[in-house]
Amino acid sequence: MGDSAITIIAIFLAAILMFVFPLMTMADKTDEVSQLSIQTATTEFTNKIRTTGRVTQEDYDNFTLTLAATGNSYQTEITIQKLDQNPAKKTSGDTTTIGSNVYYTMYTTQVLESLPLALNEGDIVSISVQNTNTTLASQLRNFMYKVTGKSSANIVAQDSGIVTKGAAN
Amino acid sequence: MKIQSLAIIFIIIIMPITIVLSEYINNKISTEKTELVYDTRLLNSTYDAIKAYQLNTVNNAFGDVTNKKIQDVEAAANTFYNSLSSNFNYTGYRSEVMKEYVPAIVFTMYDGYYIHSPFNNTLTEVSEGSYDTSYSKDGEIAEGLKPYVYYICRYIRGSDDFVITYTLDNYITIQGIINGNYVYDYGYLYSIANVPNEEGIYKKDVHTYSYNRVEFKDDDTEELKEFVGNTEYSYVKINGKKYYLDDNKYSDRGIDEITVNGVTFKQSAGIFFIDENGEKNYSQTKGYSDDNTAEENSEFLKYYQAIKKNKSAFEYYKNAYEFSSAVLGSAVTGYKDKAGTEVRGGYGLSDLKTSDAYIYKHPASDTTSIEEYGEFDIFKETGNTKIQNETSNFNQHRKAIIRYVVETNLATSISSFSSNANTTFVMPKISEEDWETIENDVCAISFLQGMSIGAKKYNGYSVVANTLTKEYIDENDIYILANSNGTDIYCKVNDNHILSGESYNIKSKGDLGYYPGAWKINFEQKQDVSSGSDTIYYNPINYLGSYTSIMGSSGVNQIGDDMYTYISNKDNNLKKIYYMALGRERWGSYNVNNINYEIYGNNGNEYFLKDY
Repeated sequence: MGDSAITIIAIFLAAILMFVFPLMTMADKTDEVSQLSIQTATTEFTNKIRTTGRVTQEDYDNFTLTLAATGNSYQTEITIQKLDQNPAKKTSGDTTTIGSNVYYTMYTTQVLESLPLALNEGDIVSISVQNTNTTLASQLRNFMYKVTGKSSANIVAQDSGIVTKGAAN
Repeated sequence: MKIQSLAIIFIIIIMPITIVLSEYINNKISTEKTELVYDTRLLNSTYDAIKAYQLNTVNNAFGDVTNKKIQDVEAAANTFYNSLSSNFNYTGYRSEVMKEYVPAIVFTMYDGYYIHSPFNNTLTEVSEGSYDTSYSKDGEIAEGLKPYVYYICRYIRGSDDFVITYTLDNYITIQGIINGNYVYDYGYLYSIANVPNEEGIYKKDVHTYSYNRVEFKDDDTEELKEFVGNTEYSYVKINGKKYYLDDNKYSDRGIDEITVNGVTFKQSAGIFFIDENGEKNYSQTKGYSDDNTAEENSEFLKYYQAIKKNKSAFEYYKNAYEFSSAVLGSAVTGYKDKAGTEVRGGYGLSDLKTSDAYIYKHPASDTTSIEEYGEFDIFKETGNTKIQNETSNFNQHRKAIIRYVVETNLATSISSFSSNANTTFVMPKISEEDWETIENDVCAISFLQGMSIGAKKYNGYSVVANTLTKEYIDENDIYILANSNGTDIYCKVNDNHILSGESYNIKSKGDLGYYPGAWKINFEQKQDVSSGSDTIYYNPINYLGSYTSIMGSSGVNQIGDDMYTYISNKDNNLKKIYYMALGRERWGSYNVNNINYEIYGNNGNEYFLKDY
């Protein structure tokens, strides 16, 4: 009787060692690779906006396609802080103040509604992406480590920077 | 063997493989991530360099003169190194470390580019001890600007052997033997129209030229005005240098108006320019006085006339017409090239083919060959596409030449940089989009190579365009003054509010004294240090910029291919203002070819004040 119990435990352990552990490792790797590819896509998209001063539908579509190619679904947040040079400085006759500029912010929906969006030099663009589906890796992790709590977003990428060129027209 | 043993052997074999593989992937991933981080750092540093260059040139009255330009470029390169080392956390005395990884920084200009790169300092011709060794030593690696490289191409066709220097727009310089004569000529190239309605420049008579049905007459003159500090002055821009008229400078000479040689002016009038210290300098043109020599007085009258009766736009179109006629068809009677030789007939370049280019048949290895773009007539119009249009044969060829020149010299420069013996430097592949930027804008291209980032060595580049430059007048950089509900504001040319029937009314020349178009750079805030204690920040143009089109880049129409096409089917008023502003600004801008020819020309040189 004692032997059977040990055999069952051994089989159970062997199953974990031989199947679940490699599976988790491979699933984690898949996520890391997805993570890398969306980080690359995000950085490239951000840098393109920064160097061309323009957010176009075409670039956005390409970006979304690259994201989708990883097989997960993502939530993208594009935030653009537009430099609003203080218009008062010219009319008030105040000739010694400089730099009283403010930024106002456009969020994802506003940005996407106004595509193609031309930006000016000095605007700030930041993009963050995180997955919304539960990947195999997070399913397994949630199953194995019940204690640590559940989280589905484990593929996250973000990038930001200042726009270096105003769109010519 | 028991099944348990088999399982254990399986695990023993599989585990190391998994561990090694996962470590390998981790390493790859971290390499890629570091590369992305480095890309962004490089871009940020390049932007800092451009920013430094902009600040220096815009606030420098001589920002477009060659030796000042070299200073500004060197300052920008230093900013780049500083910014790069602080981005990589090598500050203080370690900041020099980053220089070992930068094979070159390229600053492209209007008609060529500078490479800032390390070189082996060779001082063998000078005896040791005759120079200060704390600054340079023989055999030492130093960084600096290499000689300027022009966007130049050599053409051989029959007995003709000449070179054409291209620029970022339709300005070209021709030097060499054509039809057995030595030719040296330069100018803006436009399509020529044979009838007034055709697109191109048309000559009605010696006093009237027209371009796209808009007429330019030599008596349709302008008086430009802008602020210096808190006072508005009339001015003229000659060779990129602005001369302002100060009516009350010499009040001791009297304040009455006098008339000399048909020119009426105030006796107290003086003319100044802003010198390199940012101060008003009245010494070049001394005003009108009996104490002056006759020559000084006549010089004053010429400058005065140029300020009051500026006809730069007319001169621009006239010269473009004459130059283009000589290049494409038959030169106008009596036309002389810039070396003073009379041109009979013309240069006959309308059937010049890309295959006549020397590099077409003798390409340098490892570059995009000119042959790949195909064989076509360089200066030929195809259908409705004129020479000045973005998609013309001329522009395709121009871009191909720029790309070829940058690629060949840069690749050599980068591969010859081998101060770090462990690394072979190779030029990274520049993307098509970035080439587009290089071919159309003044920009900085930086390279960073050889840093270890895990699985491989980093090899990256970054291109940042400089859209605030005095180098040349981009056709997109003209703003139009309009009235919106009682407020005068400047708008972009493609602002949809200024089209006829829309809410803004374009100002008229009658109210202002000049056609209400302005160059973007005049819109930048400047500082005035001449008043002594306080620096005053002022805007040369004291009107607001449109909140939508200029500040926000919205409320504009898409221009399509290029500005020439966009503007060509708008109403005549807008067209006239735009063409006048473009012509006037270009004619007055700094140009290496006609430096020092403000007052006295030699040979066939067009000089600014000839007709005043």
